[in-house]
Amino acid sequence: MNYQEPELQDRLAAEYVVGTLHGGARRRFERLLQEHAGLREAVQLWEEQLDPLARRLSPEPPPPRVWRAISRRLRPAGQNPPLWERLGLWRGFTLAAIASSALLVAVLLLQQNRPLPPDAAVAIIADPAGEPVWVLSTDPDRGLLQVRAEAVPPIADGQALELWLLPEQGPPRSLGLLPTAGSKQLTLPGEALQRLAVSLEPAGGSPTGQPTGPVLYQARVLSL
Amino acid sequence: MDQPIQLEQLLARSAQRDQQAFETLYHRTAPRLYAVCLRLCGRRDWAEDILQEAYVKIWHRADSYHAGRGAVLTWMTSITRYTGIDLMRSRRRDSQSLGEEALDGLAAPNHTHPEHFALEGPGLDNCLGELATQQRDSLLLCFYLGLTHEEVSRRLEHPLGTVKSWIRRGLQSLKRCLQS
Repeated sequence: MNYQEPELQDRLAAEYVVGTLHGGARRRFERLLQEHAGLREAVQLWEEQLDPLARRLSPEPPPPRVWRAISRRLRPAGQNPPLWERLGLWRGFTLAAIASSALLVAVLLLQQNRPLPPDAAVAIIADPAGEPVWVLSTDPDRGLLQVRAEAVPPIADGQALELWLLPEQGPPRSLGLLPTAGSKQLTLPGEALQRLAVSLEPAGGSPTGQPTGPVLYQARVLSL
Repeated sequence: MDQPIQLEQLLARSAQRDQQAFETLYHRTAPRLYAVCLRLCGRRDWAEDILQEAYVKIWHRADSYHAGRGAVLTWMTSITRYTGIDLMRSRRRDSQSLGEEALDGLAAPNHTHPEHFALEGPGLDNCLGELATQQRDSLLLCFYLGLTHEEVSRRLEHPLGTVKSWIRRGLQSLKRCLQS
């Protein structure tokens, strides 16, 4: 395709802004936007032309918890954002088939041109079909385990999903409750993360300090 | 009421990692962008997630905005809509009927019916008003709800090829009218 051609630029730009360009085509178009100023101008024109549609919606204040969640994710100058904010994991591409591939994860991270914090690690907790359910990443500088819900199957009221560290020896250790949507920060344990498991517990987590419900997912942590 | 110059200043300070300025920017603009998110996905929980993701992106990309990029709010709206489109597709990719959960009890009022998209006033509205009903409805379904051609085809119960051509011709007519 000749992406310099104005009519094609205009058509693709319109479809991109309106939203009908999707899947692999949308991803490819986004990469092309970085290279072609003509495409960027065409997109900007359509954004401006269609903006009145968005403007006429009645404003509605969001709940305070949204700002709290955002402010927790802001970084002062000089610190790296968590991995998925640069990985673009909302972009629909599935990591399932290569969830166990440390090589691909490393490639994705290198594409972001960001230095990796030392001892950084990621884990993808996937369902039996290999679809990501949660993505975890460590932030050793701040002692945090960042968890992002990708596509968590619904659980009943009165239930919770608890994350366990499975040490080489000894009983499982709780790392906290997992979010069913959005992201959450847990505390990074002192010991090395190797194997993780998720169990279904009553709301508030296991009353005994050990898993009481069925183990729904397991994952291995990849160090980089 | 938006004060465009001030939004630019708030965004510029945000680019310099001024979190106070960013919080002001958020409170000034979030109600409008939240409305866009609600309209897009019809669910408050997803709308909150989209809004959160969008503002985090805006924070990280604040340094990429410049005056030539158009109005601040338009720039932010675009980021929000694209974030929403990606999030909805990612969350729906394994579900049985795309877009159907928007029709459940969680749906915002007047969410799904094209005829409820009120059109008044000059400019874009005149041009939209000149479009054939089906072209306009398809376009609005795509823009507001982030539907794909296939989803619109299912919703309006018309063949995919027909829907694609409505949208293509609708966009062409819209462009001609807006630029005349």
